[in-house]
Amino acid sequence: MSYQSASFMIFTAVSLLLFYVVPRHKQKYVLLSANILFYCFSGLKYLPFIAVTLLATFFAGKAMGAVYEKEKELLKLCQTPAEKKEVRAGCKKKARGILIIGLAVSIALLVVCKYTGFILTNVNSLMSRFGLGEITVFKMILPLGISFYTFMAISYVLDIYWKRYSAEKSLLNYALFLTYFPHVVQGPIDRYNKIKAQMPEEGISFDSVAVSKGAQLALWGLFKKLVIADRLGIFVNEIYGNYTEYEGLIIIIATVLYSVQIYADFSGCIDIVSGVSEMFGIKLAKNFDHPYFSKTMPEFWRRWHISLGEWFKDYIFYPVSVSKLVKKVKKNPKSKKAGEMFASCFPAFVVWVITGIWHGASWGFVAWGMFHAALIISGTVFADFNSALNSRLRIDTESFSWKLWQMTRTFILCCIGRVFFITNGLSEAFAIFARAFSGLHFEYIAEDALYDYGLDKDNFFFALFTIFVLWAVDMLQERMKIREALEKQNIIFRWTVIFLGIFAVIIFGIYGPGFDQSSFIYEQF
Amino acid sequence: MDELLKVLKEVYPDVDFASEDNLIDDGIIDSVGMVKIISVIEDRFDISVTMEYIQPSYFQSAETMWEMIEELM
Repeated sequence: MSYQSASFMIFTAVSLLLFYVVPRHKQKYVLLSANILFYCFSGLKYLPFIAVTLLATFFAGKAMGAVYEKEKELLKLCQTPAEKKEVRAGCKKKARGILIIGLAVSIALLVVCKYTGFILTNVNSLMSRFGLGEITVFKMILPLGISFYTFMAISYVLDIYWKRYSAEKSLLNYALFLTYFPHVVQGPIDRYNKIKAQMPEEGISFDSVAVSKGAQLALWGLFKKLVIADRLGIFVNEIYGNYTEYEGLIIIIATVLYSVQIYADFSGCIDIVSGVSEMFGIKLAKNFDHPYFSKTMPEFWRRWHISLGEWFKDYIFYPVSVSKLVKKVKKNPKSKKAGEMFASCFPAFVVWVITGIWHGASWGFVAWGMFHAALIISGTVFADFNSALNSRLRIDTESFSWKLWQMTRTFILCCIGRVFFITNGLSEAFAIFARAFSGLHFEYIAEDALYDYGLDKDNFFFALFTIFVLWAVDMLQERMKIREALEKQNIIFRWTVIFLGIFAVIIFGIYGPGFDQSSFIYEQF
Repeated sequence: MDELLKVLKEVYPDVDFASEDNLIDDGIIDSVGMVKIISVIEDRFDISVTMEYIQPSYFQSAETMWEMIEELM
């Protein structure tokens, strides 16, 4: 059941109705039933995988919680700091053992399901070099949302291990969090404590304003997905699907449009699920903050897929940064500067390699991760040089023109990275670069040719208009809270805007034959 | 506390740590800055900042950082 489908709207409406009709203390059961039903609609075969991760991490959390409770009791009995230290060390060791089991089960499932084919293909390639036999390559099924719910489960057990909050005692509450249908497929990668705080034991009371505002957000998400992303997707798929037939500017145009498509697609999905969740009285983590207005790559990654960036920061970047290895190299007596450089760059490198692999099992994604690692690390390494150069050239870094250049530069770099993202493997990505820069090839963008790539003239210009609408709304959102402002308007104006949105989605959405309604780009991750 | 303020000033000369109390949420210190601060705190106070303490709430102000240092000493 895809988030933009009619069946999902009906499913949400029925779930909402039941959620607010039943006594408040029973709401959790309605929500859990909705979560399970939603997941089952995608395929019963996926259910055991999420169930194993759920149970492994819940019981790991519970066991660690018990160890820390015992630790508190033992500490009360200690007389000296040495005794306390010993108790803490013993409990930490026990908790670490439990943590490893919880992590191993969830990570193993993710690796087996997502990377078996990739690993076996590369093992075969290595074995063939030494004249050894071949292993039969097979791919496991990819459970819906495994990359997202596994990361949420990992964050839960690590937070318990690091005593950031107490372990959940109720399996029902934990299951509600991990299987919550608005975030289980494509995130955001929520944190347990943030969601738990919004699910009080006494239940959630009906709030018409929250429901109305949630519906508005979901409607805007549908517009972004069905009207903008899927329209651009027709053009992009034609060029990238048959890239050997095209050269020059047309490939660059398709790459730029793909960057807009993936933004409208993913942020559209997040708006739909965040809106639906707000109707249930639960705010999901923020995932986008108008990323294409970013002036640098690090800023871009603080504004694009925010929940994933935060996850990597908390659970990879910080642990690697304060690891014994980094500390040891940093204090290298032979070269302090080299040690400090290593300490600044190595954690970012690790984060970006894993980010690439997380997105998909292919060398293209690894290359995409390395590309971003190179950009971000070079930004750190050359920060002083860039600053000195700007002063020497007397560039006013606060001027509008400089900021515009920075935004354009960041967008261009993102577009280059997208080529690794959209293609199947490295060789295809390099072939596309070669074709894109083989010349201008105006024949492919002449007026009569331009409308032959799936979008006729009207649709092509309408697509450009919707990109303008997307940009204008993003600009407005930078300055004001649109839904709050709309809420303050009179009822006629409010409903006119809402009906216009509904009609726009119905009339201008892409629903043609052959259209695969289940295809959100990030759903595959 | 004075020693901490002195150390922080070495890392971020332009920030007024005595008055700022929302360093992380206001974007004055980012993740790289937090790691730099951890490193100098560890060196100067001879402590090891464990993962339990590496979260924004401990780095919002000089005061919260000092609380963390006292707990770790």
